[in-house]
Amino acid sequence: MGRAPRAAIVGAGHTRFGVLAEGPRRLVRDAVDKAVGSVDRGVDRESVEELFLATLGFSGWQLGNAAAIAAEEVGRPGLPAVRVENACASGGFALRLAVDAVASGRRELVLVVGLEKMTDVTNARRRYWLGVSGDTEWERLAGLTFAGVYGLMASRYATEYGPVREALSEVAVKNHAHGALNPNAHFQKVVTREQVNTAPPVAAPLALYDCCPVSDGAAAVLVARPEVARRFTDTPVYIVGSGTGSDYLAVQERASLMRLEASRGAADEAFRNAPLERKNIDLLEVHDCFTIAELLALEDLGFAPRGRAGRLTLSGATRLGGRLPVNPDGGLKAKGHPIGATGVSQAYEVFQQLRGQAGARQVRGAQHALTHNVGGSGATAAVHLFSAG
Amino acid sequence: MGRSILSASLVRPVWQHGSFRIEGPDEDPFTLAVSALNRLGEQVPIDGARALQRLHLVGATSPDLDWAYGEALGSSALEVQHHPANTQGLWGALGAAAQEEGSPRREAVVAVDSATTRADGTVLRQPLHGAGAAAFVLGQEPGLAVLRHGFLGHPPGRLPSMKGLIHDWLEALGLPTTSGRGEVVFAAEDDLARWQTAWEDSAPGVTVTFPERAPPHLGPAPTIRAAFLLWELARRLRTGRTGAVVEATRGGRAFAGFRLDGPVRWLGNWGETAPGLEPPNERFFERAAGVEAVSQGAYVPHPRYVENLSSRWRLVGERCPQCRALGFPARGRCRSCGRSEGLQPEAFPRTRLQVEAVTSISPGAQPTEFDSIVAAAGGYDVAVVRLGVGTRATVQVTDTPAGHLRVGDRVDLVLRRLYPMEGEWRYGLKAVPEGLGAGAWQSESGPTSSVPPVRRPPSSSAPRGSRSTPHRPGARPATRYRRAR
Repeated sequence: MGRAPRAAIVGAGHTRFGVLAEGPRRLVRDAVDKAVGSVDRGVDRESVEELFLATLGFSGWQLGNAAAIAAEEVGRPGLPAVRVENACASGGFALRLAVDAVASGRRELVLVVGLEKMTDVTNARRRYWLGVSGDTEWERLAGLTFAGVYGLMASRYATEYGPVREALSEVAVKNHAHGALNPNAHFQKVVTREQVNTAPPVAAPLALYDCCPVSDGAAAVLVARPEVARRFTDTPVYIVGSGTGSDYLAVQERASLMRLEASRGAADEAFRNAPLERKNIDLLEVHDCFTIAELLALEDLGFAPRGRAGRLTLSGATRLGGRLPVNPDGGLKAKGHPIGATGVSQAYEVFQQLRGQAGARQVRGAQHALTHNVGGSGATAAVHLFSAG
Repeated sequence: MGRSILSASLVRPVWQHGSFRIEGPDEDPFTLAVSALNRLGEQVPIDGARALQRLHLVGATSPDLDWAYGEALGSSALEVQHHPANTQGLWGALGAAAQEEGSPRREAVVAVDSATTRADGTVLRQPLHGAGAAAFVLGQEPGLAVLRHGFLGHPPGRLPSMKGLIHDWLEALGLPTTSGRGEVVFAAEDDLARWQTAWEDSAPGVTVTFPERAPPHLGPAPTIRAAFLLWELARRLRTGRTGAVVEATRGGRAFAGFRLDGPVRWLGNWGETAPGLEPPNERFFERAAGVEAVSQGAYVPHPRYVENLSSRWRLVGERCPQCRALGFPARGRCRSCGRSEGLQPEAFPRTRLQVEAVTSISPGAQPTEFDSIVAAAGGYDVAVVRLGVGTRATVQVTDTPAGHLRVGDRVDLVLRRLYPMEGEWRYGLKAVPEGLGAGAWQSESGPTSSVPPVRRPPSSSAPRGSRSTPHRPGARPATRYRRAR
């Protein structure tokens, strides 16, 4: 463990996720205000040197130049700002750029904001947008949205490894139970295995409770050079590994329908230069946009052998209190999935967990964590490793 | 020198309304014609070096899509000619295609009847007749008899007797009247009893049949009912005899006749078959009354749509000359070794493809551009099918309710409408369960079992409609289709 951390999170803010009255400007402002307010020794907004805004621009809201609006809401018009878009992995990739900015010595303190406003449009327009990050020329023309793409993966997974319904249901039940402990979660209620098993189908074999909701929300983290982190707090959370990966956009062209090579590559890169091994990880924040995605993530990231993630999940190991809690904040499944905000929200959760401030959902003794953020059906992925300061 | 009928095919939709077979919400005259031609293509190569020289279209086909037939068939320089949407149109097209005009290349004739779209594009809410397509490919092949034909017309004024007319017709076709065992399939608008007597008197050596003008599922279809007469003749010529189709109109003032010497390869059967599928609801008939733009987030501009139609419509991928790896769709770069020079197009078969994964899209979960398909026919399946080593395609499943397809099943791919966009329909390949659906290889044995097919997939041996497609336990399809009674 001798390698130096690459960056440090010194403050983090999070709005409620869900169907919210606030517009995108207000959501950015609220998340940033909370992040700034969370810095133990305070921070002068004037000391922020650059802004990375993660957003898909869902519904077409300010697809171009949205970063300038975010800078306005930070209260720093004129701040160097850029929008980062890698679909649902936008937040993870914005964090990656922030890490690079401080690790390279180019900046000392930068701000990462994740945002999406998804519920203020008509149902038709929402469906219109929900598939824009998948393969347009082949998958979309075959009538697929992401639920369908993950439905195909689940279909193949069940063919290779046997019935998977109970494991998928357990992912939903677990993440809803975790979400019930998270005051920011979109869904804060538990569900039963029977409710999940009898839910109406969406993209069979996936049904309603296998799918994450469409949510509004924003999250923000302040990322500092490790050398200056203690200027802001005695308990920074260090980013000790960062990896990204990509794969064919269309699932049909990938090596396997059951593996996200982008996730595997991102995890390998993150661990390659980190002072950590998988066995050191105390909790995972994985991209469970659909329940099957959590099983695939456990295998792609190297925490379960191929075909065994379901068994691991059914054993209770991934629940709070288990050997390896997964998505203690409820995950995308229960916390919600405002597209651009999700990757930043994962970092927010780890910031709380590794500082022992996660309240009822605290993973006891957590020192090291991993976040995993996937774009679309696995065309891009970002993985980050964190250690308590 | 003339041409022979190398092969013929018939397709009809799986959907049934009353006694008529009608096209589904993703079918139109273009897809019906291409389906019939693709069936021919499986029997007699009509692409590459054997590409068609000319295509004769008879029926409600729009000239706007003339460019698309060459793309769909892999014929780069295909000349398209349109003929009137009636019986005479088909006879004229067949006569034109039978004439060899200095080129040995092949020509095809397709007769199409749409139940819901008129030739001028008018959309009908209630079908007036059935839908289907018949296709013929004509060319030169040693051992096959040349298609001889004759057309005669008499000006206003005194008309010869019926016996005299029949004599003239048989002479025009070179058919013996008193010797041999010829077959004639005869159609006339009226006076059938008198015609029957006249035939018996004037051509005692010829067996004459007077079939119904079309089977019930076609009804008064204006175009392809004539093709039914040819099919009936071909059915009667299984044993290699000589015969002709003869149609008299206007009391015999006009005559069209085609003579066949021996059997014809003919795919499909217009005889008795299992009932079709009933439309699940009235919205089935609310098809777009024209091509409207559909708002779409995942936008595919027209140039990108037509850029790779060979992959999209004909399943053409590529093979790397260096590492031999296959790729689909063709992108001009080897996915295995990265080579971008010299990749060779390679067409994958479109039949009997194995399903690797399948999902059922429930109503409401579809992208908005598929709303009209869902409104008409309910949710649908989407499958990933295996093409070859390391290659797959993602396709929507059609002609069958959602939830019936399973991993490991075999499917055939057919060209269908996807959705309208910016004034045009977008088309692509969809999957139908093997042996089911218009244009799929079906079980029906045609009239020509004595002529061995050139290449016939094994699937063609299973009886149509016999395939069992049980519901998946625990995942009841949102839509159930009923077989028409």
